[in-house]
Amino acid sequence: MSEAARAMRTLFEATSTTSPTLPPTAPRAGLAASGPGQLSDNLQTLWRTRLGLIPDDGPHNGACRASLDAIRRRLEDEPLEDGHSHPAEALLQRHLEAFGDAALLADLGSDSASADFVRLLGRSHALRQETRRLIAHWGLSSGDIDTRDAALQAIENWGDGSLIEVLRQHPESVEWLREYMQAIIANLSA
Amino acid sequence: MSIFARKVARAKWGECTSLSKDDIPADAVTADLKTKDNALSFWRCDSNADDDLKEAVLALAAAGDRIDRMDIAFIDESAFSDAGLRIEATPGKTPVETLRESHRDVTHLDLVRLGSVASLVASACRRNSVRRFDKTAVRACLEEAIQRGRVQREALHQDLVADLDRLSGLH
Repeated sequence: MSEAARAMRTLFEATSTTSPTLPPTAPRAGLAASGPGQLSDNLQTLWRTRLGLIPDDGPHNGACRASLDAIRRRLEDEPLEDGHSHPAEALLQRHLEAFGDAALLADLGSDSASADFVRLLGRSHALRQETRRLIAHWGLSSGDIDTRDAALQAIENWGDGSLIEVLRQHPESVEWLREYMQAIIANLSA
Repeated sequence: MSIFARKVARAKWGECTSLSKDDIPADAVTADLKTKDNALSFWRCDSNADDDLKEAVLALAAAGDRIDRMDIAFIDESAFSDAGLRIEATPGKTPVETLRESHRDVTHLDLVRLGSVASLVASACRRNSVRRFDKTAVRACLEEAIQRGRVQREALHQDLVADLDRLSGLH
């Protein structure tokens, strides 16, 4: 295992609640990180693989897939705007009632629409605490500022004090995002 | 010096891996600069001091139906005239009556002039002329306005009032 792979596995284990056992299909060949963005992408792939979310199967098919696609399309049709509710919130609520929140994690992608998807998830108070934690980890590990910002906003909206440690462990490089994160930590600690 | 303030999604105006450093991301423009009748809405504030910018936050937050953090970009009023943009005072769509006359529209926007506005907003984001008000700060703006009688709870969207009540119960 390369040094980069070992470093990433250490980070992976440090941010997991249970001891991870990577399945044999883990994309080890992709672990030779070429930079922060690549490392981040690999880390996200590892998480999703470990969670059994790759390859797509089980609940991530059929009606569940159609439901997620409908949410995605609604977000593409109309961007999420701070201070205003969005029609996709009702779709997400119905999705959660029908399928639970497991398949949502598999749908976290690396495209530019992912930030809005994370923001939408941040508006739901029906997600399990473990799901919120995984979304927070996933979003904060992104190389995309918008996705990290969305993860921070989701944590702010959930008001979940158990995520303070996730924030404290996150080494945010962008100053204004770091200030936002500190404000969230202060508010959650109050 | 007076400034014009507008709500933006700051993270969308940052550097993109797929664009050059000085490029203006189209995703930011299409998300944040959605025109209506070829005009864009701004709020005129006396300065970029927090207390003045909070007036824009209040006007915008009171017009919504949920409480979220808010990024406010601020630009010198003179920059708009320097760019050849036309400004009109129009009544703002906010339940806070005293703030309605603070509203300005940048009008007669075509693609080129919209590009000028985008350049102003992008420049504001790059030089840190953006203030982020977290959710707690936005909530405080609204609650203070209600307490001072600047806006009636009944004038707010019922979902916004519910959000205020829910958050008050948490603190």
